[in-house]
Amino acid sequence: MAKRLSFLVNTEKCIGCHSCEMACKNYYQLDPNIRWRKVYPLHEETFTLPERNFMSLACNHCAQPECLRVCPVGAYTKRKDGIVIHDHNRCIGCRLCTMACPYQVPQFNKKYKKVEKCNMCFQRIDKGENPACVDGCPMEAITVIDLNSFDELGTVEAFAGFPDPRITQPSVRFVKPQIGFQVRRDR
Amino acid sequence: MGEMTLVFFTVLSQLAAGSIVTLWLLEVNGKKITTETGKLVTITLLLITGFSILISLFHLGHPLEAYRALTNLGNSWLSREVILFTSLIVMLATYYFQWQEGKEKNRKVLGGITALVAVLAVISSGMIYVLPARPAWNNVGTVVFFILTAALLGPLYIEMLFTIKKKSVANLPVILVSIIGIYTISFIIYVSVLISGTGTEYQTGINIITSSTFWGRIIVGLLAPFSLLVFKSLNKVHNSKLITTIFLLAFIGEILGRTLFYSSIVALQIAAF
Repeated sequence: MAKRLSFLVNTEKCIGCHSCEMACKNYYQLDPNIRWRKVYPLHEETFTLPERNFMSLACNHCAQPECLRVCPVGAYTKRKDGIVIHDHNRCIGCRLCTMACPYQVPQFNKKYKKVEKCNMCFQRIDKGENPACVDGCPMEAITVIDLNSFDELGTVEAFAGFPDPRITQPSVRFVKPQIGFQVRRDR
Repeated sequence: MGEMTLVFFTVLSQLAAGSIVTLWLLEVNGKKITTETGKLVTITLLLITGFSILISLFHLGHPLEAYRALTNLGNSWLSREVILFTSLIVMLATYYFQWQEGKEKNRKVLGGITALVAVLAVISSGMIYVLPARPAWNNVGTVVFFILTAALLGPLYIEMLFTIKKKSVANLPVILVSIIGIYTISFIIYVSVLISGTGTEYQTGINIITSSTFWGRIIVGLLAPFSLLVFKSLNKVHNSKLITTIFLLAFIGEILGRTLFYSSIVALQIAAF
């Protein structure tokens, strides 16, 4: 049975240090204004928890990727293991994929006048290694899982404020933040 | 810059598409069109379509590699748009050479095929923007308004050229007034639906009605041409300056409307961040 690789992001472990972002940028020597992985602080309005929480997001390697559907030059391909790859050489910079992705993952690089995005370090995966972001996280908050064999109990495919997953069926899974333990002084 | 090239490409190509359909419909409905007028209309439409395609290349990061956009016909509406507009250029060029005495039958058949390709090309242009990530575009309205642009500018352009060539087309002002009426009602319904919605649809609707471009578009592109066309019809004025003014007003209105189409849209976002 074919794999369906995806990122599992544990927001309980994430401390918002941006190491995953930097590991990715360093590995691919990305331009300063390009980030294939981004760490976002969660708004208190959405997650009314008495603590700061962060979410690390890259490409969700969707089961029904809109980028792949709309691309006129076929720059996107989906591997048998589920990884959605963008071929930089084929891209002509029409930017239609940047409009079509509900998660704003593909980014237009003004220097090369082409779009680029996370490829889940497929070359490293093929060698049996972890993606750069996974190895770069000091909290082990990001892991690569196979959704076809992963027990999803305790994880979610979306959270409040996340675009409807029915559009592209993103492969990412999250461990949601829990209510923090509060220590109060007894009166 | 990127969006303005798309604004001019879509409006000009839709003008050409609407015009070729109008020209063909007039001929098959028995309107006598001289070879000279037919050639003039077709050659200008060929130039307009070619120019619009040339403009569209400049929204690409790599215009010289645009030929590769034909490689995903199975999935991508942009690929389909490229092949259809390229076909339209070829069809228009072939149609141009049918404007000779004794080729009426061939011309009607070829004109029909050219008109069909033109309609399909406009539909494919609209379908590119039917994207679930942009809910305000993700409906039939996008395609309908692209077709309405063609339906408004096409007959106006033909009416203008025929009037300049002293071959005024009877009843087109009446048809044009009706098209502007349908356009206005459709636009009111579309914006009302957006504003009555939630999330990105609501935000897009608010962006539209609070924009000065919106009001400019209503006055210049719909109210002014409507009033002048009614005046033209009631007073039976066959003045080339008047129809040219009406055409230019409608054209500017469509440019403003298309600019608003691109600038007002609100995409889905991860609201938690």
